Amino acid sequence: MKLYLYKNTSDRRKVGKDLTLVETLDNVLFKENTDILHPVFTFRKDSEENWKNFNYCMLQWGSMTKRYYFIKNIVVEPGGIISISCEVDVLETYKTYIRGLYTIVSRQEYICNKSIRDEQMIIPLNRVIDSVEFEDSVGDGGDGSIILTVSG
Amino acid sequence: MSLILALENGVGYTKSDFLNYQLYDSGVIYTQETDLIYLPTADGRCAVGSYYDGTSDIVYMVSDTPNVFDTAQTYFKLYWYADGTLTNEYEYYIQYSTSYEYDAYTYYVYVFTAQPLGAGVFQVTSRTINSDISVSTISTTDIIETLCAELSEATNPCIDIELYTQGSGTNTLYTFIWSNLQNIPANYTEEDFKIWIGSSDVSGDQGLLVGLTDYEKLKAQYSYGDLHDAMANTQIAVAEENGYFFTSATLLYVDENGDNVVCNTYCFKITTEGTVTSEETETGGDVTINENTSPKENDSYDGGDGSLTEQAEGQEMSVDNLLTTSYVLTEDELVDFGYYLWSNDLQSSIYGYQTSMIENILSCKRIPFDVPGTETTIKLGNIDTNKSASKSSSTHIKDVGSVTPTVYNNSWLAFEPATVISIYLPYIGIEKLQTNLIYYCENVNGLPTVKARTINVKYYFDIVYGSCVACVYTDGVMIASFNGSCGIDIPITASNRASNELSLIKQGANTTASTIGALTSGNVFGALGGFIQGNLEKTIEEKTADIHFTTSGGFSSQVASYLPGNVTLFIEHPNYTEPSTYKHDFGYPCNLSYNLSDLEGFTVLGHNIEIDEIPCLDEERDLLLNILTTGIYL
Repeated sequence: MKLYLYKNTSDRRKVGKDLTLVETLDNVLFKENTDILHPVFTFRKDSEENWKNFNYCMLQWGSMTKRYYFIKNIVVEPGGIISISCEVDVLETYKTYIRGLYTIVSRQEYICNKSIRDEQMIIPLNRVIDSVEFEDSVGDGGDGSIILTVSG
Repeated sequence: MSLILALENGVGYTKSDFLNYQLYDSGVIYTQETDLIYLPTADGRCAVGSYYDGTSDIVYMVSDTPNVFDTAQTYFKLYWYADGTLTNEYEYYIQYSTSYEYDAYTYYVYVFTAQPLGAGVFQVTSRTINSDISVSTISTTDIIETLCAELSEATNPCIDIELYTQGSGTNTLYTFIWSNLQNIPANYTEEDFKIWIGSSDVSGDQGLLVGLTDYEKLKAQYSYGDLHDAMANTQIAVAEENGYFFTSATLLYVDENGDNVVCNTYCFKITTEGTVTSEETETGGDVTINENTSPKENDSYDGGDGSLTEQAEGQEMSVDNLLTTSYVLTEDELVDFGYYLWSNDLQSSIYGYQTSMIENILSCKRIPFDVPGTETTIKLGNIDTNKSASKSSSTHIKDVGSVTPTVYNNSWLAFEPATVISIYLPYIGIEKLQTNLIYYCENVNGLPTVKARTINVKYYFDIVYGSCVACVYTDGVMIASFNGSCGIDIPITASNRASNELSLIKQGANTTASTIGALTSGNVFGALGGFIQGNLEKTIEEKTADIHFTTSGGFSSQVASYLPGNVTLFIEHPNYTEPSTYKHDFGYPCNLSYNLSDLEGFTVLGHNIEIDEIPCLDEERDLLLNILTTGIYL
């Protein structure tokens, strides 16, 4: 297995993160029972510089099987031993399948139905009244007419 | 049953005279292209081909089912015609039967030879199975193999398969969708069939399995990594060298012994860029590749804006100049007439109709517009007063014009209850209009956009009673009407004046009673009951304004004449400015089914979505559901 260490600058909710490879560790072995969703990787670093540059990693086994992880914590031990605690990033790991989903979208940035009431909007209490006057008056503006109605 | 013969020149005949009872109940499938006779039995299918070996006809029947015929008893007759005339009859008796392996499938061959019955020999030249075979070169194996191939192609189970790709490179998702399963063997059903998907070589020979899916699921989905990882080592070497590998979808069924019976293989070549092409390994069914296409179409907004049908014109029912007459007078003419009323001329002209001739005067009103008329003199009863006036029509229509209100919010805020529309109508008051009849949604590029209808107001006047009705139209359709009073009474006599004052008091009392306790004001000037002309209909509502504008008490029409004389539309709406990052941080309500591959930006999925096709762990599935339903960025 290989462990790839990255610098991630994307929001954790992003599908398809912007990753910059920092370092690759070959021949990764599980020396003890490992929670595959919350693994802890321990390795030796001759230089302490690089451990500051990564916040994300990917574990690969086989030619294509990968799991991506957020690095939750880095513990630096004397002697150049570094332990990174990881949490699986399901969005990145299964991004291919996520993009293949066909399902109901309840909110979206671009494809939307604005005629549906939006409960998340914060509407101020003050309201505005606009008016528009019709061009012609009902009366003629003059004295009008006198109408006398008689029998016969 | 009918037996259809296809002769070598392609001319066919039918004959319903078939003797062998074992084939008696069978139907016939005729394929003129191959000059073969297909005789499907109740338990299987068989193809028939024959040739003349120089001595007699030999007929071969190939079936995919054993023991089709009782060999000791089987024979059949063929009737040969030329130009519609029966030329000969032959009986064909079975000589032997054998099994034959072809394309990993066992077929059963039955060989018949002909026994002529009557005089004359009908020379059957080689019936061309293909252009390369003639009588001299036909061998038993060749003809049998040809028949087996024909039967295999015609009867081999097959499906139509579509492959959709979404994404690119190593992030490509492949969706296999199949349908139209055909040529199911006897005693088997769709439930026995499966689709094997995995690596293969170009000939379609199977490699490593990715997934085995029941036919009834009709769909399987795999990532590039899934398909790539299924390659055998030899295939990996080829892929690395050539930049592509093969994946196949194989149709098979499980037979009664539990063995997989391969029917058809559909092979695909996939490049390292994720693109795919089809390789010709299938022998039936249609193969379609849809690159960068989702299997399902996105929803689109198709909510209509409704349609207001234009209404027919009303019918004016005039009561002019029947038992009463209306005259238009100037002020001077009225004053002159008044002098006449009190003159001795009138008193001496009393003809005995009334105790007072003045009681023939029904009403005298001032209305706020000029009324055209025909010059005449005033006739009081049967007395011509010789006082000048104009005879007029009792109805009058005034179109005060149209306005199209501005759309202040292109969203749900444009509609009730967020936006409230009122209208000030001279001689009537302030009334509320239904916002949803003025603002509506229109489909613009697949998304709803708020639009405004054009509002038109017309006044219909009855000048005899001084009443009016204001009708509000949107796009030519009347949506509301309101009653009012525009005629100012001019008292003629003491009793007339008293009557007018009493009417005012009643109006005021009625109006006040309707406004006290409710922050509303209705028809400010009181309704005279509305003298409706023709067939004016109140289609929607006749409401009073509420909440925003209040008046109280009653006014005389004379006072009303001091109020604004133009119709005015008031639109009360939220004072809302959308934050510039709102749509990116929160998105907008969508409520459509969509392929996520066609979306970008902030996206929230519905709460009860199904993500069973994602091959993740259970805990990961919970994480996914939580994240997908709270918001992600695509």
